[in-house]
Amino acid sequence: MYQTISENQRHEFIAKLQPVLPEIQYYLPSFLDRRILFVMNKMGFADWQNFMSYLDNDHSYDAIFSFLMVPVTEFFRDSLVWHTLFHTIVPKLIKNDPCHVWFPDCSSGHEVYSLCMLLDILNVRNRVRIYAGCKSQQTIDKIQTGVYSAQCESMLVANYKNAEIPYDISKYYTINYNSLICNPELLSNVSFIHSSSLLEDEVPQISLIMYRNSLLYYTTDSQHTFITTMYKKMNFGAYLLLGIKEGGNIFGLQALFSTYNKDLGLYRKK
Amino acid sequence: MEIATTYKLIVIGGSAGSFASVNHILQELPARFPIPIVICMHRLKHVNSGFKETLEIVSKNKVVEPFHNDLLEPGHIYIVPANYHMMIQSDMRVLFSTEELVNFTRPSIDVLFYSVAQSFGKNAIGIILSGAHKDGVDGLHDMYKIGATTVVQDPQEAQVPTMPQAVLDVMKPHYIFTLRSMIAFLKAHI
Repeated sequence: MYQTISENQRHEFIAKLQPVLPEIQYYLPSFLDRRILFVMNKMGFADWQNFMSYLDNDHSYDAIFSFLMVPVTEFFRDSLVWHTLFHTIVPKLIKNDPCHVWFPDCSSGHEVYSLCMLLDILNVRNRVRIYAGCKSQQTIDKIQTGVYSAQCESMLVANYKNAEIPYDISKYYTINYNSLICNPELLSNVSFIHSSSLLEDEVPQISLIMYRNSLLYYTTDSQHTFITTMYKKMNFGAYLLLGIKEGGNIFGLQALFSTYNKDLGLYRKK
Repeated sequence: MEIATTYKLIVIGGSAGSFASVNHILQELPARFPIPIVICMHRLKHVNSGFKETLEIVSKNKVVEPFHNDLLEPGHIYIVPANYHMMIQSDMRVLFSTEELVNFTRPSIDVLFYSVAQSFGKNAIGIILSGAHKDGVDGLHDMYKIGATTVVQDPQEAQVPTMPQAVLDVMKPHYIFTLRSMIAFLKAHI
């Protein structure tokens, strides 16, 4: 039978992590249950009490966070989105200085690197400032090394080809043994923010927010809170990029944003 | 077997060789089918296979690739999109996830079937069609254990028998059907 955890166990876990990860209270219970089991499995805990004892004694929580968050596992995921960013959205954005882009929940760096490559190809990387919010310092350190599995390359090449961006992407990374290593120079325009919640992030007025496939995991009420918070940090007419399946059912979205392209998950601040 | 259940949902899982079977089932089912049908098939995420478009042509019911939080409705066929896991809540709302691959695949049939077992219990039908994979076996087993009706395409008829045979290796489903019998069953009991 599919493994489950009890409501009491979930509450116990939330109580322990809430001081360092306030957003945990907003997760959908079913999602949180899956992630707790995933964390336990990855960290080798079969016994709940042992797991709780570990949480009591480990106050960095970095390892927990790195397994709790859902990583993006592809560069240029959803090719049509990147095609549109390259050909339409970014050229519009850079007409206005300053241009600030915000990734409120950066879990693996795939999207940050993808955007930096795209900006470099457009020769506008130095005109765009990127803010990437990460929940753990360990994640930031890992992203800054630029090291990913070499298996990522086939996906990167396939997605990039489908995005129909007519430039050679291979100059931005090297393959070394079992690793794909992104050129760390690509991150020169990126400011990483180590914060436990996007609600606390200090960012300037934003032109584009990339928050893809994150709202899927939150309750309806908290979706509204996050959408409202992001809205307040955006310029008029700024773009909000959600996941391609997050769509118009996100609570509060339609009131604050107009739909630019629902199939791309692309919205504009009203 | 005596059927005395009010079904609320049908979930179908398939992989290699199941496309023609799905096509055939949808072609034969009547319009305004009384409960939603959800189809989870393994397919390449980088290629627009035209899967949905082809089903739209043959199906008498509306074919939809849903969005997060959409409400499943009767008379609709729902296709699980590429590169997302899909789950269904007891209130018929769809949840998506980009969590890790399960059985080396996303979407995973197991993930869908687990959620249906938890949300609908005996009020669901789970069907495994042709495939060269074992994804879906555990999910169908969970549905069985919780009282759902479980159906497997006859491996002798399946284009690729690995997946239906893998089910038979671990459990005894309620029915082992040819497509023809499967369609007759669905028409008679829904």
